[in-house]
Amino acid sequence: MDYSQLDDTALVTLVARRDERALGALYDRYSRLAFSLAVRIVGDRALAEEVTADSFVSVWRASDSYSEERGRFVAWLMSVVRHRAIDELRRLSVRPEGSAVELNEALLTTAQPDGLDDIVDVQRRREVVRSVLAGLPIPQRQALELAYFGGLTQQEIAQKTGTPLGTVKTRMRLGLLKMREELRRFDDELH
Amino acid sequence: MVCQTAQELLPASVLDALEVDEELALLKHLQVCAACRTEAELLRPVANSLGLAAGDVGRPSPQTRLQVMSRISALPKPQTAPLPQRRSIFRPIAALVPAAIGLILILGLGAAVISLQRQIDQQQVRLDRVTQQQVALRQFMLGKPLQPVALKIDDPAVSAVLYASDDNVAMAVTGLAPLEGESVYQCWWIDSRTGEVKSGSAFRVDANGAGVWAWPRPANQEYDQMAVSRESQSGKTKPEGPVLITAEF
Repeated sequence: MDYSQLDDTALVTLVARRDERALGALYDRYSRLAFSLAVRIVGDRALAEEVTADSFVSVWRASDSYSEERGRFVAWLMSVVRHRAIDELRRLSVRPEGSAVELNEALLTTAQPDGLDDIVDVQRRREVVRSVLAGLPIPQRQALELAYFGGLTQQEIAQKTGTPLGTVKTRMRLGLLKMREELRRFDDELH
Repeated sequence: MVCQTAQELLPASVLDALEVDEELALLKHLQVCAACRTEAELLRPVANSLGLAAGDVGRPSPQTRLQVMSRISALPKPQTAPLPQRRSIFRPIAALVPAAIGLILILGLGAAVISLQRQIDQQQVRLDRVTQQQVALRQFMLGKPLQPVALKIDDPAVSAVLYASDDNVAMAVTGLAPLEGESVYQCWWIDSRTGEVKSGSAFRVDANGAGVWAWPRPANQEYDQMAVSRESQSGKTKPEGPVLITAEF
């Protein structure tokens, strides 16, 4: 069986049956993406490698709890990586000061993952997400980034930015709803 | 809470950016409001998509892949239940079947304990920064001082908070799969130094995968860890199902 030809759902199904080669294929497909997110959150490559490894081991353990109804595998994986990375941040009580502004520079680079429909879809979705984020008003984008990449609550964001809590709530809501609108449009065009 | 308030909180909720008192209030509303649950399910993948915005930094080192494959190879494989055996007067070896089944069961229990211990060993500290959680859960603890407990949860769909006093623990959880038949979620108290495992309370979540509980801690204070596993029925003396949550006191 050529695992590289299988889609994500098929691979996760095999992982749930404890097929190590299937996990290897998912790793080859998405480790770069996972590692990039981990670096973005923890700000250290060595630590990000630990986070990446832990995340794929978590995928192995929890694969039987994944279902397509919960969304795309890559979104699930991103969630695993993010939670693991933020756990690490909290453990170290370190938050990279520059994390909120690194995104602009990051937008200039693109990943070069392997082929397959899932990867192409992820790549296109990635461009959409970046484009939408870049198009948001800076305060809205900052609120989303501090929550997602920094693991901060709205209260903490308000304190960190010196912004009234109500304003932070509004910015976060508007920003995420705008993202949903654009991703929905992307999905409609895709199908 | 009315739907309008819930809808305003949902974006922050799916970004894990709510204070815990707000999160618990929202959870209570979601338990009874299908429309808001649907809205939450639509928003969650949007929030998760934010991870795609991280700039590409290249691949992790090849050692990382080796580490992953090595670690999963070292994890115990799930034990398959033995098939019913037919007696055969023509095959004397059938007499060994009961002994073989017993051996499989013993190995299975041993593997489950080893699996549990390994997962606990690999536990990462999950620090909780929100002191308001204490306020939210204090009502379950008869006013005794609470301390947040670090949790390890592999499934990102599951979120939980656990607080402990000298006498009790209280846990709020969401995202666990509702169970059918006789299956239960089972708490286990563990003494990591001796490896002793004691069964605790069994519980089930509501149709939304949520619940809040408070339990007394065992009188033996040597139990320094707790775990929650999914079991096919209550009353087991050792964990056999997958461990979903681990905690270290």
